[in-house]
Amino acid sequence: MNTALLRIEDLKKYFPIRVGLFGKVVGYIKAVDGVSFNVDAGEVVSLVGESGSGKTTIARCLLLLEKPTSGKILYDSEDITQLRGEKLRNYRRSVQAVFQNPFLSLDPRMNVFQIISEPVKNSMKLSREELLEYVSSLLELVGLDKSFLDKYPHELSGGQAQRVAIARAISLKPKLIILDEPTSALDVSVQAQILNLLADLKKELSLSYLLITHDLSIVKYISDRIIIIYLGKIMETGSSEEIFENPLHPYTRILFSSIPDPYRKFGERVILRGEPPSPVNPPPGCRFHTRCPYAIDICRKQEPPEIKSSLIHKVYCWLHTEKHSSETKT
Amino acid sequence: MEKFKQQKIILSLIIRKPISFLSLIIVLGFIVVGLTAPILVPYPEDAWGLTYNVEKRFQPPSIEHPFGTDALGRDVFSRILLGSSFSLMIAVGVIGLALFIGIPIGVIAGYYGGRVGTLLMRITDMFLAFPPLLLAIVLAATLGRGLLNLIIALAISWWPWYARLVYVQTNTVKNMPYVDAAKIAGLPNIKIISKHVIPNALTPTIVQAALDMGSAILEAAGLSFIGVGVKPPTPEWGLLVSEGWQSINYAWWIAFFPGLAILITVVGFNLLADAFRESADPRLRRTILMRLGVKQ
Amino acid sequence: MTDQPILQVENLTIDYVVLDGIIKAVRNVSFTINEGEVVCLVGESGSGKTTVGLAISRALPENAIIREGRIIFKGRDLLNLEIRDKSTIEDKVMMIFQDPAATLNPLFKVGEIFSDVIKHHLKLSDQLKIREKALEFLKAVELPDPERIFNSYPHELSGGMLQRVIIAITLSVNPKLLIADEPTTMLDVTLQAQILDLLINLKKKFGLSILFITHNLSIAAEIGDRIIVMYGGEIVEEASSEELLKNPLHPYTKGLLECIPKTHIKYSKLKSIPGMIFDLRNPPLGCVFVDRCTEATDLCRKDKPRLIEFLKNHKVACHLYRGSTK
Ligand SMILES: Nc1ncnc2c1ncn2[C@@H]1O[C@H](COP(=O)(O)OP(=O)(O)OP(=O)(O)O)[C@@H](O)[C@H]1O
Ligand SMILES: Nc1ncnc2c1ncn2[C@@H]1O[C@H](COP(=O)(O)OP(=O)(O)OP(=O)(O)O)[C@@H](O)[C@H]1O
Ligand SMILES: [Mg+2]
Ligand SMILES: [Mg+2]
Repeated sequence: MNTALLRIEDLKKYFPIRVGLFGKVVGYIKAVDGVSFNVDAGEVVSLVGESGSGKTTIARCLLLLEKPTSGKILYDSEDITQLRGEKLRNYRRSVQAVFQNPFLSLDPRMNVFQIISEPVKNSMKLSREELLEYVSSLLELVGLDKSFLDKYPHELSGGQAQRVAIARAISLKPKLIILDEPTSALDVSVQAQILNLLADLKKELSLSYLLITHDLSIVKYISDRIIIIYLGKIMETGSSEEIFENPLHPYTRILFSSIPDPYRKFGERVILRGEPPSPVNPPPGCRFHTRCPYAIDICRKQEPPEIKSSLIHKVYCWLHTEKHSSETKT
Repeated sequence: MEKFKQQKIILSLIIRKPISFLSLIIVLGFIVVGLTAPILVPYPEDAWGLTYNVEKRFQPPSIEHPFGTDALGRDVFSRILLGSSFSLMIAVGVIGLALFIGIPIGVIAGYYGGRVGTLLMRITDMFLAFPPLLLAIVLAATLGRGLLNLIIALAISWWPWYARLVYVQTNTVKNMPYVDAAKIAGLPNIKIISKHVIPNALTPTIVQAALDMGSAILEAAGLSFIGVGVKPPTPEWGLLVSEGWQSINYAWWIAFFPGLAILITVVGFNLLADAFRESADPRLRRTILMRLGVKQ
Repeated sequence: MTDQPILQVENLTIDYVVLDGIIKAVRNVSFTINEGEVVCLVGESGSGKTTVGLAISRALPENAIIREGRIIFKGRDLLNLEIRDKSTIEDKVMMIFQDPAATLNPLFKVGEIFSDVIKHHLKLSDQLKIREKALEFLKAVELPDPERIFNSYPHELSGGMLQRVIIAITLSVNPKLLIADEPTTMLDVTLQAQILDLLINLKKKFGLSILFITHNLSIAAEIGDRIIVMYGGEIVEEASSEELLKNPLHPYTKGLLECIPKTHIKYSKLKSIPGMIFDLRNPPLGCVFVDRCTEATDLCRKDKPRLIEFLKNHKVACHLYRGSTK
């Protein structure tokens, strides 16, 4: 697969910290600090990391809700921040999103028909009947029937509301959907329903997904590639199998160990201590060294290089360089 | 997930509390009377102040004139009844005009932010820096007496509050994921504002404004009382009190009953406002401490 | 852990009054918590978990009505307390909530909120003593730099820190029973693991009993001694956590267990429980789970199964387990 749908090159997003009446800038929150990856057509890429690691900020840059500080986001080899006119509209249609809290992402004053038809009305000319038919067909795709058309969000359950949000996202026939924690506000039983639905839709509509989550347990089922991110930087990336079978970065392993498992008693897992450091002054060297149980001297001083374990499995960690890998074994 | 409708709970809470329920009745009663008074008044000519009858002056309350008659022999009850229409008109006028100025300013400043937003909010803050009643008195005195001038004077001292409120609400709504969703769908700003921001940002403001009507009535009465409000013989409650004031020693009823009308109406509105605020604001310190086990 | 019950809930039935009807949120719920035990209340959204928790800590909203039932804490019925007993009991049952940011007033510093609570509960008035006490508890919840946190506003702290602060405030009044209502649901997995670990340590240190409310069976199994599964306002199953995982009886519990994605299996399709919860204004005549159950029969529709002890220390409310061993 060499058809990169979206290519992100050295993306940075710094939020200025302002103080005082005149908004003097006293520093920057380095939310995303040099991230590169691509999403191929028909692929599901998962972006995994704890709270504050910059996942949502990346998504917001891709959705043109936030302007990158530097770096490029290429769509059809054109930088999306430079798009105008028809090309911009085309990009908007091609990239859609589903957010974490379905109740906050649906306007409480609109009914389901109005919610789903709004984007359609804005970009296509359809008669009222055609619109009704199209919206009903979308509802059917997401597993709801026509009786939902005139319901309001507060009359829906969490799972149903998320289905409506998904119907809205596919209404413009996008190529890529960004899923920002699409199931973390839902019950476990409903979470599975929604993940199944997303997997089905992907096949049926040949979609790509960028799935954002902090919970590794849901990504294996659906994703082809996984990117582990910490404090605005990529720590490890690889195919889903590689990451699950052979996680290399200590942070990835701790993430795995954090997943609650009913068949394991508490105390048997490694717990990440402390808070993530402030993104205003990220630690020098490897960003994870302050919380890494295996940190060695060099981790505190120099940024780790990229180590390729396979064609696509890459890890940014000193412990996996040839020189140091022996040190950790002993 | 608390997806039951907030309004329903608020209403059911209000109905369950006797005081809140009473205030609801007062407010509804005031509105109904205000709307129908012109048809209901027993002595329309007295009410409008078109005639006077010197023989009937200073009559104490009786069956014929339940609130007595005034210095010109007019039926006080009729004047008060019709006065409710004027109070309602003033309240709606003041609040409506203040919203008309405040909403666009708040929405534009809140949604677009930036330089324009800062400038608009600075102007708003300048107005807020004046004591509102003083500003209204100065304006009313400059514009001269009259119903319309009174409304304008009060509205000008009033709009900055709504501009602030709308500004804050707009800021909240503009960061809601459903607004992001509309942007992602490619909707132009103007549509986002009219379809999502305004409807959602305005509900709390409108509720607040409706409950502010009590204060508007009180301030209007105050201005009329000190002689910078409506012109006589308009049966505005403040003016009625002021007219009765001179004869308070021997004909207490002329000032007393309009005063009572003001009191009941204003207290009714304020109690209702409190009830709303109490049941709608989950962040009240009291409830929060209660969650932590402190009952005050 | 002793088998001495610290809390007994009997036949608890709670309604919410709303304009268009009566929500029968909790019906006939009975269970006990022993001293030093961690009991988990598991169930999906709307099953009435929070309502039970609020009833025990006597913080139900105004439109809630307790129709029936008794809540006996250390031998005293919490629902019929003399006024003068109230404040002494209050200290012994405390509750923490899902959304830490909504629990703390944004206008006050952590220290001020802390002082209010300590003043009220421990009847201390010496500012220095109060401060000392507060710092001690902030340290106990493993917060770095308690001094700084004491002087911070809630919005200056991250979600994980806020939840620790709340736990610290809660523990400062020396409760015997802690009700934790989804304290980790808003947090990411790494923080969640931290907070759970903390709760377990504190439980040992302070001799707490905990009623832990969650919709996540994995978490319940990890930290709970016993698990109570609720559905639609009723208890459907109750057993020790090992037993429940090894041998789930109720079709709903089985479904919940199957829904948990397991990292060592590559799925072609995740298991899920189709359908959704019924309208709580009209609870079904028979079994609460009947609409979503694959094994439902006519009997299940007509007759409500009672919660019976089908196996030793393992209760279930389901007609599949009728002709039971005693
Ligand atoms: N508009 C903003 N202004 C200032 N700082 C911001 C803004 N948006 C995000 N940040 C900061 O950027 C960092 C990354 O935030 P982001 O929301 O991208 O994280 P995330 O990985 O999505 O976390 P979560 O799992 O909590 O959603 C955080 O430190 C956050 O506080
Ligand atoms: N104050 C209230 N007024 C009216 N109905 C309420 C109120 N609080 C809760 N409910 C309703 O009572 C039912 C049970 O609510 P409860 O909060 O106890 O469920 P829960 O199991 O804690 O769910 P969740 O996982 O969503 O927190 C729900 O249907 C809910 O909508
Ligand atoms: Mg995020
Ligand atoms: Mg709850």
